[in-house]
Amino acid sequence: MTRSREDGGTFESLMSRFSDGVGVVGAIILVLMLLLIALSVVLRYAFNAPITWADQVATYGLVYMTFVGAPRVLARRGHVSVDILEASLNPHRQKLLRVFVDVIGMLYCIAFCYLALLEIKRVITRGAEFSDAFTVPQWIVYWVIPFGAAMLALQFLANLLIDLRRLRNPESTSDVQFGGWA
Amino acid sequence: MSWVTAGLLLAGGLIIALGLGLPVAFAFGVLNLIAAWLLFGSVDALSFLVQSAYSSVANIYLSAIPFFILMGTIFVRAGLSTVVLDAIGKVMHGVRASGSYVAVFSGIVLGALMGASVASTSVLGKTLTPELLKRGYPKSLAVGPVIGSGTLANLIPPSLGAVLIGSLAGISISDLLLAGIGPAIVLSCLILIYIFWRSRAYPELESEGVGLSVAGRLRALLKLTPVLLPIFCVTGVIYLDIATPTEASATGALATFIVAYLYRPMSWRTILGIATDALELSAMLLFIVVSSKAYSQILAITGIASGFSEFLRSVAPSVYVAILIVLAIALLLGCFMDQTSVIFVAVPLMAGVMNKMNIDPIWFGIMFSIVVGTGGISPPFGLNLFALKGVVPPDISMKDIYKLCLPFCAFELATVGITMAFPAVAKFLLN
Repeated sequence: MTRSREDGGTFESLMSRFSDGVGVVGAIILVLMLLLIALSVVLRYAFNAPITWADQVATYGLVYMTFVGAPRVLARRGHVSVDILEASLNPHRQKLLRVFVDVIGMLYCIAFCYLALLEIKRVITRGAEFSDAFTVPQWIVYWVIPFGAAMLALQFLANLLIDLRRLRNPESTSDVQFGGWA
Repeated sequence: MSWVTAGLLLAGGLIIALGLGLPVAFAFGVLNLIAAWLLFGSVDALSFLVQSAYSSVANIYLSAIPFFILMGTIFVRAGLSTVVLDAIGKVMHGVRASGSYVAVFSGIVLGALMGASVASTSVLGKTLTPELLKRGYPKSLAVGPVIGSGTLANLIPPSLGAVLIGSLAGISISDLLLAGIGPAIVLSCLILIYIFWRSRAYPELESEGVGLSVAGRLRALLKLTPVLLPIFCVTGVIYLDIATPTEASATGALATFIVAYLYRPMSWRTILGIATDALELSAMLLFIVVSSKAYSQILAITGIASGFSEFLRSVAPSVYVAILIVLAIALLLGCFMDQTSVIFVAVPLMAGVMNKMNIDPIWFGIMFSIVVGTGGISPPFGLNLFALKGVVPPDISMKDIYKLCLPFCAFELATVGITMAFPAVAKFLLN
C-alpha cells in the first residue's frame, strides 16, 4: 500500500489523518476480539466456563472493524482494483480516470450512507433488537455502517481533490499500483 | 427478462465497473445498487442492501480472516521467517540445488503459518531469490520454485481462500482447511521432482561446499520447534476437532505472538504497527465481502444462479464436465482479477451447480480453491507475480517471470486433475 499524501491541502491531510486515526480504533478492536475469543477457548477448556457472549460481541466487532477500517485503506489507496485499462493509458488519461473513479466512489458512498440512515431510522422507530446470547438494540450495531460510508465519501472527496491537483500538474506521476492479499 | 439477458447485463456491468479501475469493493456495491434499483425501482426496497451489507460481515466464521492475517503479519514482522529459512537451509546444505529445495520446504512451513500466497511468495522472493542468483543458480531454479512454493500457502491451513469459500458457499470451513493438506503434498512433490529434473543440467550447483554432519542438521531442525506451537494451534486443533476455525485462528495468532515475543521482545509501537497492518488488509478483504450477500441475492432474484446451474446440468454429459466448466470460468477470471473477486463472482455459480448436481462440497470446494490460487500465478495479472517482481533483483524482468511461472501453473492444474481423479487426496484427513 502506497502512501500518497505528499501533495495534500488542509482538508485532505486532516481527512487522511482522521481516517488513519479511526483505523487505529479498528486495530484495537481487532486485538480485543482476538483476546476475547482466545480467552473464551482457554476458559472453556480449563474451567469448563466459556464466555457465552464472546461470539456475539466478536461478530459485532467484525462489523465495526470493517467499516472503521475501510476509510483508512482508502486514504492509503489500498483497496484492490483491476488496473488493466489504467495501466494501458498515458499518464494524463490515467489521472483523468482516477478523478472519474473518485467521483463515482463518492456518489456511491453518499447514496449508501443515505440508505443506511433510512434503515437506522426504521430500526429505531420499530425498536428492533438483535438477540442471541444477550439482547441489544439494532442501531447500536448498525450506526457504524452510515458512519463508515460517510467517512468513505469524505475520503473519496479528499482523494478527488488530490487527484484533481495532480491532473493540473503535468509533472506529477500517477502511481499505478497493485493491491491484493499481501 | 430471461436469466441469460440478466446475466449478460450483470457481467457487462461488472466488466465496465472493474475495467474503469473502481476498487473492487465499490464496483460490486455500485453494481448491486444499480441492479436493485432496476429490479425494485423504489428507495424503500433498497434498504435490503443495508441489511445484507450487515449480515454479509456479521458472521463469526469470517473472524478467522483477520486473525489469520494477524498471525502472518506477526510472523513476518518479528523476523521469524528468516529463522525458518536459515534452519531449513542448514538442513539441506550440500545437496545439489539445495537452495531450490529450501524454497519448497520453507514454502510448506510458511504456508502453515500464513494464509495468503502473496505474503509467502514475497517472503521467499525477498530472502531466497537474490541469494540464489548470487550463488549462480539459473533463473529457472532461483525464481521458479519460489513462484510454485508460494502458492502452497493457499492450500495449507491457515488459508484465507478456504475461509472465504467456505463461508460464502456454506461449506464446513474446518473440513475445507484440512482438505487442502493432501493437494499441498501432491503439489510439493511435483515441484520437488521438477527441481530434481532441472538441476541435473547444472552439476556445478553440487559443489556448494561440504554438507553438515547429521547431528548438525538435526540441531538446525530443532531451531524450528518454536514455530510448531502456532502450527499446532491452527492445524492440529482443527484436525483434533477441539475448536472451531475461528477459535483456532485466534489461538494461533496469540501463539505466534507469544513465540515471536520470546524470540525478540517488541515495543508497544511495533505491536500497534502490526495490528494496524493486519487491520488494513482485513478491512480491505472484508469490505469486498460486504457486497457479497446482496450480489448473490440479485443472482437469485434474477434467476441467474439457478438458470446457470440448470443450463450446465442440461448440457454437461457428466458431473465432471460441469465441474470442469465451473473451474475453467474461475481460472479465466483469475487471469484478470484478484483472488477475492474471483471467489466473490464464481462461488454463487459453484454453489448452485454443487447443490443442484449433488457434488461433494469439500471435494469441489478444494479443487475450486486450487484453481483460484492458480489465478495468482498466471499471466497477465497474477498478483503473486507482481509481488515477486517487486522484491527480486531488477535483472529479473516481468517477461522472465511470465515464462518461469508456466510450469508451476501446469503443476497446479495437474494437482486439480489428481484431486479430481482421486478424491481421497482431499479427504483422507477428514473423519
